[in-house]
Amino acid sequence: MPTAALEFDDITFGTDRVHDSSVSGVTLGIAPGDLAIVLLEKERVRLPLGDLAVGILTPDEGHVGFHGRDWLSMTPDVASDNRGRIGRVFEGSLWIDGIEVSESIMLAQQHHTHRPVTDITRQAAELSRVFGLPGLPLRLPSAFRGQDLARAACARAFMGEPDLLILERPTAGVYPEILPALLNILHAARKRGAAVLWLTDNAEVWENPGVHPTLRGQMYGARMRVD
Amino acid sequence: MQRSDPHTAEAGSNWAWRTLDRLGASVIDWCRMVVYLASMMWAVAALAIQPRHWRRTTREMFARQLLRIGVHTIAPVGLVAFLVGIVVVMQAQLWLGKMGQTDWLGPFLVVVVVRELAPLLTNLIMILRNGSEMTVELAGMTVTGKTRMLDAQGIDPLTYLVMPRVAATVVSTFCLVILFILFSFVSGYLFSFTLGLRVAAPGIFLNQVLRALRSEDVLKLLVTGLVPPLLTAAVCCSEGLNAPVTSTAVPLVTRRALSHSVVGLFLISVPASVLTYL
Repeated sequence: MPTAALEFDDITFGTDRVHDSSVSGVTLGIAPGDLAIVLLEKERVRLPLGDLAVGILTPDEGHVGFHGRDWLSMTPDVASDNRGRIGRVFEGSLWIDGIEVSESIMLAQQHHTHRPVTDITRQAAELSRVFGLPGLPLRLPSAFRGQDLARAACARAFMGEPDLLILERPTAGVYPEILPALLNILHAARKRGAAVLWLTDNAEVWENPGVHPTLRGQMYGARMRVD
Repeated sequence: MQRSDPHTAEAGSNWAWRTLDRLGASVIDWCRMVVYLASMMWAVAALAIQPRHWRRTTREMFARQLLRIGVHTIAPVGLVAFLVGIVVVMQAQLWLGKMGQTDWLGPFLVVVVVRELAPLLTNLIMILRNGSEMTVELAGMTVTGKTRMLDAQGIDPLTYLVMPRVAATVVSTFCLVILFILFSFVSGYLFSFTLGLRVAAPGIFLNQVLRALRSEDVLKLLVTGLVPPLLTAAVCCSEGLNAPVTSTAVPLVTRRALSHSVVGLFLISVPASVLTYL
């Protein structure tokens, strides 16, 4: 059995100012090629699961592993490099105000790899078009509508063929039109071995047979029930 | 004999303890802040000397900050330097000429402009213009979760946000101090010339200033041109990145960053000035 790309081992994390809810006793393993989709409660969409998965939060109890290694056992440099292998759609569509959206899309790739800029730019433009943008979004985030930023957020998450994808409500504001593109690209990503954790508050997305999840979970307060 | 009221005595004693407690707490806070800032400056310096931390994104950010902090501040610094030139250099030429003490023009200008005013005013402009902007920007990013987002992408905010800002602030401030000195001397000289004052030829004027320049003046210029901007950038970045996630955080941390930076500037500049006379 392959090592899980992401493993939550009985994790508990209390509340803080950033998140809507705590999590308690969450156990979950996502192997390469697997997809876990978790249905969130409507009033509690800001969960610390994404931050715990990338190791920037330390659970109060339990362990979070990335490809078999606990985040806490990694040196800061190794942890940063590993985070560069994770693509993420952030809850709340976060963009750096002072730089163009296109630069934000390419930022992690420019930071972690030595790929030529032309190569990165080409991939960013392709992904932008896949998610329904006319091309690379070459203006500051303030110049775009929320829907366009949601599409750009999806493009950012898939840059550079990540090993793990964390999708925090990727369809928010762009459902259902973004779903076909998202499912297609997810299918390709899973085929090459990417693991996916998809958080959604949309029951239609959660039940959509086209998602083909290997695991379905549902949040009840701080607890997760896995089907 | 009149006996003291035990309640009053107890209240007085409580007040004294509370005052002592508050004083102690603020001293401990100050010590903590100094240690934190020193360790942050050390960490940034240690990162900055390692080429592997200057990835292309960090280099781009450094160039961006150099443009924003350095190039865009030339105009306000130039304007203040121009006015200082008129006020100080022109008046020094006028009054020293009237008193027949023109030999003292060089030492006077070195002490007043090169040693004191240029670094002090440049640093103040940098604090007001760029320190506030830096704090607001970073605090805004922290409050809205954007620094967390960078961290989640494996981009260390210390190397991507702090290091380029600190480096750009130090480089820009030192260059602007030199520009300040040049602008003020040129403007003062030209204004005196325009007013028809008896001024020495440009070569003689320059020679007077350069002859008056001593090694301790250069050392003081280096200290006050490099250390306060390092402290300012460290204070503003740390306040911005440690802003609490509340709606009132940004103005609060900005005010604190500016006041700490100004206090820090004088705490460095005054002893440095005193030491040049020892």
